Amino acid sequence: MASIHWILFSARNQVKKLGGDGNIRKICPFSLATPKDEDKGDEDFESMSMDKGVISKLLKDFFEEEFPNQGTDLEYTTDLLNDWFVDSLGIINTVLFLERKFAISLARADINSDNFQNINTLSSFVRKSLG
Amino acid sequence: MARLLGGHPITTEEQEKNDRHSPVAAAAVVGVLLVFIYLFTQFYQVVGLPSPEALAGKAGLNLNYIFDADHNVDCTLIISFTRKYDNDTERLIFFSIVTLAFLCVYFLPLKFKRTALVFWFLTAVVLLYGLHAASGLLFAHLAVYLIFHPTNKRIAIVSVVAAGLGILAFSGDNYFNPRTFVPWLILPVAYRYGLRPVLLKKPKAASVCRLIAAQSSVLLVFMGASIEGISGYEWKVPLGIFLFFWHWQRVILYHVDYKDGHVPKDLPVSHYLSVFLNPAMIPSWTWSAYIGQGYAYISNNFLCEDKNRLVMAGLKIWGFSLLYLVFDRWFIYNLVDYLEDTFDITLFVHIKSMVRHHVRGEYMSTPTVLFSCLIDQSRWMLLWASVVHFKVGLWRIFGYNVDPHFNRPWLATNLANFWARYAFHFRAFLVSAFYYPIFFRFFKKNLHLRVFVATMAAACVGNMIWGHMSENLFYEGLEWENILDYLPRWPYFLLLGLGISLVQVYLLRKKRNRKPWTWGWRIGTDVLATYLTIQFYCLIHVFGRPVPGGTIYEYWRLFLIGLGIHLPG
Repeated sequence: MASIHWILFSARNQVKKLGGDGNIRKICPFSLATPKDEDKGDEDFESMSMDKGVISKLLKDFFEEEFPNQGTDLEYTTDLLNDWFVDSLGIINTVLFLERKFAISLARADINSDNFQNINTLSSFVRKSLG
Repeated sequence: MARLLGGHPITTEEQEKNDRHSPVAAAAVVGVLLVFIYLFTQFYQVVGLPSPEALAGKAGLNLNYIFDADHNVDCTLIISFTRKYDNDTERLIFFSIVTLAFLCVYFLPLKFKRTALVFWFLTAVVLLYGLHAASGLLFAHLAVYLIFHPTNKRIAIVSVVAAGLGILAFSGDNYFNPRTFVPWLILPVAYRYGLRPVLLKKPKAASVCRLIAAQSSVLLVFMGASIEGISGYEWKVPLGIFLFFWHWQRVILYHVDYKDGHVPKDLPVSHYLSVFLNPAMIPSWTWSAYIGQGYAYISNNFLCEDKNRLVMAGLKIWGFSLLYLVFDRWFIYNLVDYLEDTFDITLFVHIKSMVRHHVRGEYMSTPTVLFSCLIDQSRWMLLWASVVHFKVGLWRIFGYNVDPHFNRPWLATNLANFWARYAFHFRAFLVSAFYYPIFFRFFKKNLHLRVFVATMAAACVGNMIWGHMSENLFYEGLEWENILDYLPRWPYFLLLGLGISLVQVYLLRKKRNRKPWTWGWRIGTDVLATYLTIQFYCLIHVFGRPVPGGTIYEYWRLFLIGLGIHLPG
């Protein structure tokens, strides 16, 4: 599955380089990664056509599952850095989740408090990265 | 955590809204500074007050290990590398300048605040270290600025000023000898027609120049030590440049911020200097010199909330600093006396002393090794925390919302968390400079290997070479011997790196279903986890204190004694 991911991911980057929007489902109708795939692991290529609301919901589920019992109700505007993350490992976990779930590639400069402020800002970042 | 990631950029309007005066807060800071002056200087003699020791005696507090020969409190908050005055006088000058700097930064209009801090910093350095040292430090920073910001409109003036400062810093007292100053006059010309066009037109060459500038301290000390090893010639570094060397981690993080696009290309020189030249840097210069690192962190956290709240937070953290500064030795030595009397075991206050006795062939029991390591690190923790709390408190009083460097490490239930709590800013440096570059570039297909290697790069390699070995050269001198002397400490860095890496890899897969220190039956596991974490961290310090005649085998033997395993000597 990882190699399929790599091929599709590379293809998406190629499309971006050629001036496309990077949405592989628009240009690759034979993509193996269909929304019905139960065995697609963390590489959810449906994410590429996701709207911000769906991304926010996925992020909220992730944070609630990964960092439970923080003593705070998680809202889309909850300050993730001050009121939700346990420690910097939480940031790394989130980066890994974003990379696997949305097949986006992050750089060091993306790890900033503008992107990681709350679920809304993070989902905007994901949406923007998806093209 | 928000501040760990640099914080959010803050507008001038928001800063002005946070800049409301409170005479009570200002008076409180001045009052606490007077307490510092009373306890840690001889000012009490000038104003005819009883000495702190006499006052304690009158109050019935006959405390040992606290007061020194001049009857004030013996203090680890010092002005390093200078012998112009005695310690107490240096502290008096420093506290006086801090008071003036605070009044300026508190009451001046917003646009003058940070420049005022640079001014008072330079005034303090001139008074405490001399004009040559202040010139050298300023010269080095302007040289970095010239390389990072060639687009600045006034860059020609900056290069001329840098040349003038170079003459002051490097010429001794021979300012007017043409042989001395003429070469420096070439600097602005060489910059204008040689380096600046390269910086502006050749991005790759400019990138290499910035990398060299950012790593200049580390490169110079390793180069100096290597040359000494080959030729026997030892470099003598002017004091101002030496002071600049201690900004190496902050310059590296400035470069990281620059690469990430957080630093404006045409940043005014006064803003650049305000990132580095702050009076909070001066006390115990070498201790945690990386506090207040990078551009984004400093600029985003200045007056990012109500300044009186920041002042009160600073005073609170100064309270802890004061407690540790006064009572550190009293607590540790009385604790050792109590433990030795009660449990009838031999204890060492310094690990190095224990290692020396062990290498001589003396028998060490497991409780001696374990408790001595705990005692030594508690001693060091109190010493260190007293200084870093003072520094962090000072940053806050000046309006910067700087994180505590030392944040209740006794609550850490694993080594990764302990390291973050024990040395927040140092770990932030290593994460930005080593962890992220590896993590985002290598082993992307292997989760565990990716995290493991990135953590080892930061906690083991970066920590040893960029964190401690270069520091050792700054302390001990640019000699090859000082590199060789440091190498036997590798097991400390290896074990620390392995410990943190394995914890990270484990926690990646572990589902967290409760927060540590939540009340319930499992709180016992938190206590045990905390003890094991701290004990492991303390125990690996047997590798960090090598002694003459000691071998790696002897240090491992001592380490294993701590684990209850006695190997033959």
